[in-house]
Amino acid sequence: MMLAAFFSTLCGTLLSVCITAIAAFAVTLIFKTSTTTNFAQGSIAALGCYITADLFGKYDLPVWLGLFPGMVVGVLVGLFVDIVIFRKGKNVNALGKQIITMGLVSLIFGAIPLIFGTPETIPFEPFYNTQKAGVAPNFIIPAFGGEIVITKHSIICLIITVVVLGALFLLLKYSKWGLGVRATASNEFTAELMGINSHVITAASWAIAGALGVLAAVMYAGGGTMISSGFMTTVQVNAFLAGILGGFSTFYGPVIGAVCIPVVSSCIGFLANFPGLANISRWNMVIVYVLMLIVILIRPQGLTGKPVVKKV
Amino acid sequence: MPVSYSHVDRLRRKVQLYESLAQMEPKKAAAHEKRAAAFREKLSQAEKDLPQTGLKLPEGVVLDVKDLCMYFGGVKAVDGLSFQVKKGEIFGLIGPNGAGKTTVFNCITQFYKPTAGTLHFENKSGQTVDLNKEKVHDVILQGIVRTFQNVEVIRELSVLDNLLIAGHRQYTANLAEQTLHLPILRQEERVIRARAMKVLEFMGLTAYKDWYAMGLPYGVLKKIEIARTLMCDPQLIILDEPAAGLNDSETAELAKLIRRIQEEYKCTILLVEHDMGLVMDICDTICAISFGKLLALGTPDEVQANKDVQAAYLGDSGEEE
Amino acid sequence: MKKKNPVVDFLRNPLSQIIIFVVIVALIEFLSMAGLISSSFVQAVGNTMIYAIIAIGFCLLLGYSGLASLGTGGFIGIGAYVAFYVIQEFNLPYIVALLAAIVASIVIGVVVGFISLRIEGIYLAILTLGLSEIIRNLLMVIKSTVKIDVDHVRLFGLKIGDQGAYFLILFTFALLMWLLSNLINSPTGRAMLAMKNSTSAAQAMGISLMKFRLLAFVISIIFAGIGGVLYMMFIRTITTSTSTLLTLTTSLNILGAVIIGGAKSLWGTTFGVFIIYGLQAMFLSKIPFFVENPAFIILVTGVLIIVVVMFFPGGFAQIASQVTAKIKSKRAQGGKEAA
Repeated sequence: MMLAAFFSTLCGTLLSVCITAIAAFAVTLIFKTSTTTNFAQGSIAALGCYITADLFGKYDLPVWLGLFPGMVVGVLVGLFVDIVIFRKGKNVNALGKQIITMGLVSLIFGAIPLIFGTPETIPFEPFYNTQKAGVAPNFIIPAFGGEIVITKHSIICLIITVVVLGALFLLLKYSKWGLGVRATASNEFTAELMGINSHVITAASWAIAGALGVLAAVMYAGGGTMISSGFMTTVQVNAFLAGILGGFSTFYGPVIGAVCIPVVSSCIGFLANFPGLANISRWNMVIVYVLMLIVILIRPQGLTGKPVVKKV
Repeated sequence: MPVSYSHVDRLRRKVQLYESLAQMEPKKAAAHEKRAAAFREKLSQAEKDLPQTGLKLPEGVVLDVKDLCMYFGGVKAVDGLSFQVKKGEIFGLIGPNGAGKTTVFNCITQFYKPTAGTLHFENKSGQTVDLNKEKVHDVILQGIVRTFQNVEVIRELSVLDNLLIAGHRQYTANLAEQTLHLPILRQEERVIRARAMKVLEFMGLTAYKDWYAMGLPYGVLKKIEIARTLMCDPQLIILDEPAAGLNDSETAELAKLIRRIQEEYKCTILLVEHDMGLVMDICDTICAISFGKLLALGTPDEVQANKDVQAAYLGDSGEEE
Repeated sequence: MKKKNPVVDFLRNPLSQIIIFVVIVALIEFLSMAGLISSSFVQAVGNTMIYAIIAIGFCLLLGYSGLASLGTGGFIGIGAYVAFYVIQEFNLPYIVALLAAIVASIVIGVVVGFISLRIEGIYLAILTLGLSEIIRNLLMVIKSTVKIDVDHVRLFGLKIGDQGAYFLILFTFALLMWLLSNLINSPTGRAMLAMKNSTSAAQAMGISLMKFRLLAFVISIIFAGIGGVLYMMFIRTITTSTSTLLTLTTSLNILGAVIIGGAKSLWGTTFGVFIIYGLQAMFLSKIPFFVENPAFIILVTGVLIIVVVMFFPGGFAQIASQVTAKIKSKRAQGGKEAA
């Protein structure tokens, strides 16, 4: 019984693992190419998600037609930030870029109600509408003398995440763009001298990050979360922390971190099943963050990073 | 009761402060002189109470580096290096790129904690101390001050303020006195500013005093770094490639300047330099190292004649004369 | 030869700047008592000043020490909750709440300071964000809504009410502004700037990174804590689940205010806070167009932040100094022509 419940809990975090992993990858991509943390990651994603949700809710479009306009908006906003704002600014440094993305949060938070009116819940299942198909929303697998429950939405999301991130990792490793990203990440100036057009690389990274953000947001909203301008903030905060936890020096580190955070959180939540620990779920986030803080203090370079010797 | 070295240093600063004030304000000279005398008495008492280190350097030696090792993982940057620096001399450390020269400096100033070996130094109180026991920001109290290879001037501050930064440990005003801008802070500010002006004049930088360091020419920045070292009544000045990036006439000027500093401030100078002309010209003793090991130690002529040095340094690299 | 202008000298003196500011802000309250200004305007001014206190503390951290923090929201929360427990639950006077909040802030500051010795730059910023989330979640679990009754708000045994709280905020702001401007013009301020520009040079000059990083964090968190206490004195209630006060939003807003104001200028920062918090509540909310479209205000703020950072990396302080420089050079030209 206990074991089945445990696996059910783990499967319940599948969706948030996928969302955090995609968001963490997007954050890392921008962190490495533009040396800045993109605070607008979540709000760009929310903006795209609003468009997708609107199209689904109002016009009942097939999934790809609904999803793509949202992602295109994500791409366009990403490109706008890099090409128009960052490049046109006068010697904008890393901190300045951060503040700009922060200003963008404000801008999007203001724009969303102006475009879409007052926020309302738009429940939708983007990838496979179980209600319309008339099937149960969950898989139920009997095991360990109990039942393991997995939502079909999270299985679809897992497949999409694995395919998308897998493709991106292959691109990073083998494509010309990937080489450019890695070169720009290690030293933008030298990369340029070597004939890599780091402007194109950076812009492409922003575009990809924008699209990924919207994808994650749509997955999140599809799981039954109410959409609002700030509904991706927690995901984004977790993605940042996952980056630090896993180590920004690699691309897979943040993804590993992104898997750890929801899993550890659900394990702590599971402890509430034991006698005397019923209240633990209230302290869930506190415990997760404290654990994370301890790990980072012990390994400042993250789980996957190598320590660096400071040169004087 | 044993006292800490920083306490002694603090008392010394107080004595200096009131002596300078007595000169600057003739009207109140008597009062300041009285305070200075009181602190002088405390200082002499405290110096007696300094804990004995039990170390002693041979007569005339100011720095003794023995069997110094610094390993980074498997890389032996410095490997069993020993040399002694005599009081008042200009000591040059040379070697091909990557020989570990800057690492030696970083060990002496405690930016790196050496893997093994001892670093003994005779400080301003005439006491011999083990530098490895000092924290990196306390090395300056012992009288060791350094410059950096890639000029580390505080760009957001004016040239004068950069010198005041170097005088940071000379302020004795505590945090409350600073937040309330009490008279003690204003007095110290005046005295230390006056000292900074003197150093600027000595270095020929007076014209730049209010300029922001950001955007000043490279040669001036290098001079500011050297000027900073002079702010701290140094016993030993460590110069990391002072001539790098300077042209011939600037290098010649630098050679003169280093000699003037040695005479005026009565201090020992330890320098790393690639410009062989400069090194051979001004150094009293030269130590040549390669791959972290000692090649030769002696007068410029001896080192120049050494076969190993020629092979490892002059012959192979071919970039020097 | 430079001519001395007594008016300019008076305006340059930090103390007289503070006095002018206090007189103007106090006047607002007096005009409101006379019924000439609406009380919502006064409330907005008081609120803005609380954020200004927090922001000038942040200046020391960001502009002088070069340390970035995204934990401001959580640190304000500590002060606010301490104030709630001391004032409402234990029914003790304001001073006790203030002292308790300062002690709590020092503890947090020391913790963050030690973390900053191991982790630097943007990583540190994200980590402080994590810490702030810990604090926020913790406070939310302890008590989701805190509320102080107006009767409990006392100073030296006197009930001070809204007007008293307003003057208290003003007094605190003026005092802290004076102390901080003294501090940044002292060896400590210079040492922090040295640390920001080059840690190695700072260490070689005898500046202990530990001491000054701890100090910078402790002071800035104390300012945030005091801000929290004053918030509880003035607004008197926080609902953690719906309020953005303890969240990343506040931390980012404070950061934004400091940047667009000019991270090294305390008055610039105060102006930045006015742009981000004050403008909206004091003026824009009176214009019918913005009343109908409140979201537009947030949008405009965002655009403003982006434009300032894009073209004036030094913030409003830079714009101001450029303008004065231009006026001066014009005058100098005029003087020459006249001669």
